[in-house]
This record gives sequence, structure tokens and C-alpha cells, in this order.
Amino acid sequence: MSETYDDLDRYLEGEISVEELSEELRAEEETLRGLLEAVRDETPASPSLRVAVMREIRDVREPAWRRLLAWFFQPRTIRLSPATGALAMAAVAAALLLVPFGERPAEGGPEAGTGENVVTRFVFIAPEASSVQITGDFVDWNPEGIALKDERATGVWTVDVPLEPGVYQYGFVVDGVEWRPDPRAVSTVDDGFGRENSVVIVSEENAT
Amino acid sequence: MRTAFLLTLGLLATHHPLAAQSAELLSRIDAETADVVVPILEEAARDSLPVDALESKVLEGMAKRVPPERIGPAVAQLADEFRDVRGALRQRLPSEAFTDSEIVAAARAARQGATIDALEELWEARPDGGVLEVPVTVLGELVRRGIPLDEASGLMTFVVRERVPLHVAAQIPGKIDGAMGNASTPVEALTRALRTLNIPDPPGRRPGG
Repeated sequence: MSETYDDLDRYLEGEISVEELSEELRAEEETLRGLLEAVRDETPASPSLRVAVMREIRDVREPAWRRLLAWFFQPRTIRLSPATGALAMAAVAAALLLVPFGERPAEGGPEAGTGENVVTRFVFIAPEASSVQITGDFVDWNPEGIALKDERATGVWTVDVPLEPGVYQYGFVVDGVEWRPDPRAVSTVDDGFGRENSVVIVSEENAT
Repeated sequence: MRTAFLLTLGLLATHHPLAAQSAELLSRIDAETADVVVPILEEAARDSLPVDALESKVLEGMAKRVPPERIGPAVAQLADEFRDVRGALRQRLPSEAFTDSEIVAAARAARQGATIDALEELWEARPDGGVLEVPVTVLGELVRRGIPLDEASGLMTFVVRERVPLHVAAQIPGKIDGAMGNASTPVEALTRALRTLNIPDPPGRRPGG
């Protein structure tokens, strides 16, 4: 019996041909091949069945927080050169030393915001523009800025920006290249680079 | 990027006064600009000037693709304006503390024609705890719109002393602009603006301008 199954293993491994099998094993092989062909010819599952099966599979997945937790606690190897490791440790140590815990800004320091943002609407009319961004000191002059939307395709571009009370400078960037001041701004100031910045004053309703 | 990283590390390692604010700045500027502006920012930080506003000017220059040789002078000039206005205010009002935003606003107002005398009057009228960024900004805007300095200063001192809500005071310049079409002078436009906003005339101001 054991020799018989050894032959079967060798056949399955492709070491011998079907003709070299015993009659009994050849019969079994034929039966199995027939079953295999039958399964292969089975009509494919309908799309709705696939969707249902995949939904079930998704449903039994671990929740994200559990997968994150598992990832966090799973031991893993981090490869660092000694120089990089030393620099990283120095940076962390220096950052810890520099952060003033609980220290209130004194004169000359940036004052703490009230935390109450005032939603400020910016409107820019540019029917010819295909994109308009606003950027200014409230986003550290990020060149990408905040995109305005022309939802009705009328050339009236708008955006609502939550801002802490204060005075801000800004400008619009049309089609990613052309800087333009806001003609509706309360003021414009020389930007020191040969252009003008617009100015907006944001204040809370209850501030005096 | 590599230069910015090394500069940041250097600042951190030496407990540099710029370190806390400047990581963001240094990650966005190139080495050539850093060479120009870092000494200016270092000096400003040592003098406790509003470094955030100066860094913002650097980032603005970068965003507008201004070459470093033009960013440096613009930032230096701004720092000088901050230094001048704060020095003058400290001399007049030695017991007062000034926030960064107030110094920035005062420098801008001074550029628009507000005098140190007018600024001093605002601080003397300030109630406890009030921040003058908005009133100082409005003072500068009034002067810029052609309101005589005395009149603008008297009005804003009144606004501060009487605690007119800031969101109302902030609308004065815009209301003047709106009234200019129907007014023969900026002062008349101011009068209309004050009526619209229900701000009473300060004592001594002739109603109707």
C-alpha cells in the first residue's frame, strides 16, 4: 500500500507518467480528473454572488483600530545607521529642552489666540479663470493656498476660511501663476516686493 | 532640503532663539535665501521683535518667487520698522507691554501716516486687558483715506475708551469707502459711516464733519 501511494506521489510530482501507475491507481486518477474537469466547467458565479461574498469577507475583517493596535504592538526590526540614530535622539532631546512647559508668552512673544475662529468669506470675481487660490499669512503663504470654488460657473469664486480674530494679509493666485489683490479688501499694503497685499480685519462680534 | 535640515538641527543643538519658530521656515527656504535672511531673523529674535511676522515675509517672498537678494532687504526694512515703532512706544509708555500683533499693526499704521503721538493716545485710552491691534489698524486706515490725523486719532481714542465693539470699529474703513460716492470729502464720508454704524460723535467732533 505504501509503495502504491509512493507511486501516486511521484506521479503527482511529475516524476512518472500515468502509464507507469498500477491499474488501480490509473482508475482513481481518471475518476479524480473527471471530477476536476466538472468543477472547472462549472458556470461562473454571478456578479451579485461575488459582491455578496466579498461583502461578507470584508465584514469579518478586523476593525481598523484593532489592526492598528496589532501593528503597533507587533515586534519589528527598524534599521538605523548609528549616525541617524544619534541625530534623531539629539533632536528629540533638544526639542524637549526647548519647549517651555506652561510658560505664558510675555511681551514680544506671540499672544495666545482666543481659539474662537470667525468664518470669513472671501469672494473674487474672475470669469476667465480656471482656478483661484487664496494664500496669505494665515497659511504661512503656502503657495498652494486654499482653493476657491465657482460652483455655478458664473465667474464668482468664493471660499469660507475660519480665522482667529486679527489682521491678515493675503492675495489671490489665478490659474496658479497670476497674483492679484482683492478689490473688495478693506485695505491694501505694499508687500515690499513691488506688489500689493490685501488686508482683512477679523474680529469677534463680542470683542471690545 | 538637506541644508534646511542641517540648519534646523544646528539651531536646535545650540538652543538658538529662532529654533522654536523656524523649523517650518527652514524646511521651505533654499540655502541661498537662508544665508540672506537667517542673520536678520537671528538679530530680530535677540531683540524680541515679532519674528513670526518677519518669517511670514520670507515665506511670502518665496511663494512669490522673489529672488533672495530682494527678500533680504524687504525683511530687514520690516524689522527696522518694528524696532523703530516699538522703541518709540517704549520710550513714551515705559510701563506698557506690547504684543507682537500690536507692534506689527503700529508699524503698518506708522507707514500709513499715523504718528507716535496718535499711537500713544490710543495706548493711554486702552482699558485693562484690551489688545489694540484692530484699533491701531483702523487708525492707519482712516489716515490713509484722507481723514486728518487729529480727527482720526480723536475718533479711535474715543472708540477704545468707550469700548466700541471691535467688529463695529473694524467696519469703519469699509463704510467710509461705501459713503465716498455720496460724500464730497473723506470727513463727510466718515460722518456717514459713523451714522451707519451707530457710533456717536466723539466729544468735540463737529457733527456732519
